[in-house]
Amino acid sequence: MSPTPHAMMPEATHDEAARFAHVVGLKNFLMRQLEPKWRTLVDEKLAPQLASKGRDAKEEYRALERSLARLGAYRTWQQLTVSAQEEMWRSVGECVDRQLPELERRASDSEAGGSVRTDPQFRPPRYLSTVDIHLMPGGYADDRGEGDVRQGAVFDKAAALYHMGRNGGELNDVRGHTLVQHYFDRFPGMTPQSILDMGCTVGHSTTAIAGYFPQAEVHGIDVGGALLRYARARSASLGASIHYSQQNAEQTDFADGSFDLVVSSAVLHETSFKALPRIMREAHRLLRPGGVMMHLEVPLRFDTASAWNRVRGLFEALHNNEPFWIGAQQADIAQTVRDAGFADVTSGYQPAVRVADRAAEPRFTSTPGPVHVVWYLLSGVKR
Amino acid sequence: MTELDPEGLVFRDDPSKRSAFFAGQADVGRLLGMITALTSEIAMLRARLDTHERLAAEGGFDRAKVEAYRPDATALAERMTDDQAMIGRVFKPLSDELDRLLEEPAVQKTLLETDR
Repeated sequence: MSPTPHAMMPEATHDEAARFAHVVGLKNFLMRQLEPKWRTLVDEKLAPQLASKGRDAKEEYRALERSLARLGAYRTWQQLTVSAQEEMWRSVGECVDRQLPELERRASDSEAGGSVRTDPQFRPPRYLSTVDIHLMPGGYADDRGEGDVRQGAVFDKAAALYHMGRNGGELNDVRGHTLVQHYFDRFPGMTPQSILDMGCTVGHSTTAIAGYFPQAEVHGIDVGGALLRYARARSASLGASIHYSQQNAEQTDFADGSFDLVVSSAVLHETSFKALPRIMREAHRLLRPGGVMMHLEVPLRFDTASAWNRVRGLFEALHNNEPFWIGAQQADIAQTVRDAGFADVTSGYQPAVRVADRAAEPRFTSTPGPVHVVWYLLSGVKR
Repeated sequence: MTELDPEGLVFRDDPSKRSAFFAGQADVGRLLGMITALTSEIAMLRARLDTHERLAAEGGFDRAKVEAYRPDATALAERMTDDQAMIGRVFKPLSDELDRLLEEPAVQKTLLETDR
């Protein structure tokens, strides 16, 4: 068995580890060997030809996508990209199912801190329930009842493969550290006593954040009971006592002014135009005066995306089941934050870090960069 | 359906169904799924063979040693290079077709005959 970073991480056999390494290799081939050829075709061959006729390939990306889909090679690339993703979930699911009783035993035996509160009546919002996001069978809300941790284990094991190791290996916590670095950059000298992570999944970022503020009471909310049971046990095995509950970030049951810091990590692009202002207003309600809200998001904007990036975005939305992928990149989220009543609203790019350092020179910048190298950070203060 | 709905969301025409890229030829999609899975099995077998060879070089092996074996960073890097080469060979016809498209002004011209 491979060494695992914490007690809940499913162990991979020799053959499972080989399959996982291969699926990353296959994704790498599709993304780094084949996709650049499509990019060249669209952005360097087709777009200039359209431009010579006074047309803008960026504006015509939907028509271009339909044209590409007439090519067998394009349909094959699309199918293989979907198949690689399905292969990832299938191979991880097989690994988890082999050891699920043991994982459930570990989750129930774990006596270290934290808590989990699930709600059998909970129904996830439409933007999370219509399709299985990222093609993960069952979606974020999949829950087989009391004691079930399967979806948490599947999500955790697959996350490192999905990110191809770029989010901090098997701990997948670079985004959590990057959020904290942003807090240190923007709000030096502040230390939160209570923290809420909205859309925490298995607590990748939540646990990293909690590590910097050991005196703080830390909560995480998400839509899936199995995710949250797993999250509590995972955090506990990493030494963090975190309180997880099954709730919708648009409307939680926490009292007004419960928190000093409300964050989310790559969650907003899984919501909707309607949900965004509700989430911001809810965060505002939950913060004490002086409290800080920070959202980390993918550093992509639709208006600056090339024709190929738009075609690729449409593929991501339709076929990797990311229904708000394009909408989120078009939304003026900063304005939504101002409209919710926040002051000192700032947005920009935070270089990804594996460890946050309060003493580090601030590196928050207005210059965009590639996904995983920088993250878009949006913050506001409740006055 | 590629327009965003009022909530900014976009879904396939029938979100309950899997993506179908080969209209009327669902078997092509399934076949590519099977090739993907088969490639994974080949990769696993190659890794297992590599384990056997490395353990043999160390003086012998049994099933338990094979199961317990984990490649070090050097061996892992060698395997990844080997895996990329295998993937490249299996999917070479697709890669070659893409290279051809990049050099085919006639095909590119037909791609520009879009239905705006």
